Amino acid sequence: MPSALHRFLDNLKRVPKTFLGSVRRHGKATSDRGRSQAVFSNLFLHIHSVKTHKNSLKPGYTLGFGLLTTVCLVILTVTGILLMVYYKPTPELAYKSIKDIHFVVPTGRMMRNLHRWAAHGMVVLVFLHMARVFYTASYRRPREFNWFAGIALLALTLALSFTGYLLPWDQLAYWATTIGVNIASSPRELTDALGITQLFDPGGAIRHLLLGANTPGAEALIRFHLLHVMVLPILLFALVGVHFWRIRKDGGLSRPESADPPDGGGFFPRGGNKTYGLMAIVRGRSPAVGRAPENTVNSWPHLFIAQMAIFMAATVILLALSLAIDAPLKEPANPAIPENPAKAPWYFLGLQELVSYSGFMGGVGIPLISMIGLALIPYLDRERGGVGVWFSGPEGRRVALRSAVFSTALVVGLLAFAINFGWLREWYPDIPQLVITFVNPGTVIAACFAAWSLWIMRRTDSTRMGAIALFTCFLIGYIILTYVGTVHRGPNWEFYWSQASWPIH
Amino acid sequence: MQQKITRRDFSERLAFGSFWAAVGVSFVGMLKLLKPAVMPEATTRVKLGHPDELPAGTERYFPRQNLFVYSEEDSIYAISAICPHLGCIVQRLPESRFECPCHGSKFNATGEVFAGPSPSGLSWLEIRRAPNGVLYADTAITVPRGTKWERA
Repeated sequence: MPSALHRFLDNLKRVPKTFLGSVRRHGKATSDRGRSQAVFSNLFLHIHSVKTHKNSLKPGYTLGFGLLTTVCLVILTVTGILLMVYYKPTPELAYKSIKDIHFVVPTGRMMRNLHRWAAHGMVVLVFLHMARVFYTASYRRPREFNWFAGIALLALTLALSFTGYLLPWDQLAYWATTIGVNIASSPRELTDALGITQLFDPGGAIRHLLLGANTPGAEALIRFHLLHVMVLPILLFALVGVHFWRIRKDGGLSRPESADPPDGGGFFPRGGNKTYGLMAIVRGRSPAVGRAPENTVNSWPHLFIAQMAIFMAATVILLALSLAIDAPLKEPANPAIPENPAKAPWYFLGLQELVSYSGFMGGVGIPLISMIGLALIPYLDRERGGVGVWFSGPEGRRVALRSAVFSTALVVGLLAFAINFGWLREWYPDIPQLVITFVNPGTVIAACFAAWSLWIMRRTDSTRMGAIALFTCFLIGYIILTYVGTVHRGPNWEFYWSQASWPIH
Repeated sequence: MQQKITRRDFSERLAFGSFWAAVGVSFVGMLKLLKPAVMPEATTRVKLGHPDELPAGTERYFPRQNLFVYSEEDSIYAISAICPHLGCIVQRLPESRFECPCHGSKFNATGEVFAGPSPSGLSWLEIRRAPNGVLYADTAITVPRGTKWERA
C-alpha cells in the first residue's frame, strides 16, 4: 500500500481522466455499443432513441421541417439573448438602442438580421411542418395530443413574432401594435352592438392587460418585452419539451405499414405474444413493440449526421439572407400620424384583409374557429388507414387537388367581388352593426369551406377525405388572403396591382 | 348502483382539490396586479383656447391629442380623430369628410360612417368652459352626435 501522499499525487495526475469519466456516464463512443450507451445515458442525447427507423431518415418523408423549425428556434434564442445585451425597453431609448445595435454594436446588425430572418423562417416552417404532418396523416392515434400541442406551438410562435414586432418602437411597430391590440379588444365591437359593454367588457380587460394603459406607451412596451423575452419563451420551451417527449412516447415518427413488411424474415420472430416494449413502459408501436428492429439503424451516427447537416445548411441560408437583406427600421414611433398603409407582419396580412371588413369576426372569430378546427382534426377523423403515406394515397391526392382548385376559385372570386362592388355597408348604409360584424367575407369563405368538406366526406364516405378537403382549403385560403394583403393593398387599404402604382404623397 | 368512495379516496381528493384550488385562487389574485390602478397617461383634457380665438368657420386640428375642432356662427364642437375600428388616426379630406388610412373606413362631415368596417361613427367630445373663459375638450368623455357648445 503506497503512502497517502503518493496516492494523493497519483490521483492529482489522473484528475483529467477521472473528471471526464465522472462527467460521462459511459465509455468512449468508439463502437456501436459505446455509441448506443452514449445516446442512452446522456441527458442531451437521450431526446433521441438509440435506434432510429430507416423511414424517419428518408428526406422525402419528413422534409426536415420539424428539425428546421427547431434550428430556427435555437438561432432565435442565441441571437435574442445577444440582442438583449444592448436593447432598452423604454419609449425614449428603444428606437435608439435598435439603431445602436444596427450601426454601432460589433456584429449587432448581423445578429438583428439573423433574429429577423430566423423569425420569418420559423413561422413559415411551422406551417410547412403542420402541412407535412397533416398530409401524411401523422396526427392519428396515438399522436392526437401531439398534434394538439403542435397547434398550441403555432399559436405561441405567432404570439412571439407579434410581441417582437413592437420592440423597435418605430412607426411600423407602433401602428401594427395599435391595430393588433385593437383587434384583441374587438370583442367590444360585439358588446357595444349588443349594448352590454357597461356590464361585461372582455375587450377592455384584454386591452388593459396587454397595454397597461388605454394607448400603447411605456407600459405596453415593457409588457410586450416581458412577454417576448420571458413569458412566451418559457411556455414555448416547456411545450417543445412535451412535443419532443411525446414523439418518443408515441412510438417515434409515424411511418407507413409498408415500412415494416409483415414478415421481414429477420432474426426476431414475428407474431406470438412477445413485446419488447415492455422493458420500458411504452405504449403503442415503439420501434421494438411487435416490430423487429431490423428496419432501424443506430441514431449515432446516422441520425445525428443528418441533423447536423440540416442545422448547418439552415444556418448558412439564414446567414446569406442576413448578409443580403437588412431588417427594416422606419422612423421613430409617432402616435399622431399612422403609417399609410399600416401593415402587420406578413403572416397576419391575411387576417388584416378580413379585418378590413369587420374587426371582430375577421380578427378574432375566424382565427379562433380556424384554430379550434385545426386542433380537433385528430379527434374527428379517427380512421386507421393511410398513415405515413402522402395524402393517404391517390384518392387523397385527387381530393387535395380539387379542394385547392375550389378554394382558389372561391377566395379569389369573393375578394374580386368585394373589391369591385364593395361590401354590405356600401349597399345598405343603414344595416345593423351586428350584421356587418358577422357577415364578413371570411365568414362566407369559412362556411363554404365547411360545406365543401362535408360534401366531400359524404361523397367519399371517409372522414379523412373530408379532413384533407378542409385543411387544403384552409391552407390555400390563408395563402391567397396573405398574398392579397401583402401585395395588392396600398394606402387607405385600397386595391393596387403593384406597389409601383401607389399614389405619391 | 351508486359507487362508494372510501375514506382514503375522499381525503386524497380533498387534499388534491384544496391544493389546486389554492393554486387557482393565487393566480386569480395575481391577475389583479396586471390592471393598473391609475392609467399612466397624460391628462385627457385638451385646452382649445378662448372662444374668441376660434371665430366662426375655423377648423382646428390638435395632432397630439387627435381631435378636430369646428367653430360655427353660434356653436363649437369637437370630433375625435381616432377611428373606432382599430384605432388609427383618420384624415380630413378637402371634400369635408374623413377617411381612415388603415382599413378605408369613410365618415361624413359629422363623423357618421358610410363605408368600410368601422363599427360606429367618430366620437363627438364634450366641450366645457372653464371659469376663466377658456374652452376645454375631454377625449375621454364622449357626447351624442350633434352636441355642441353654444356661444351664449
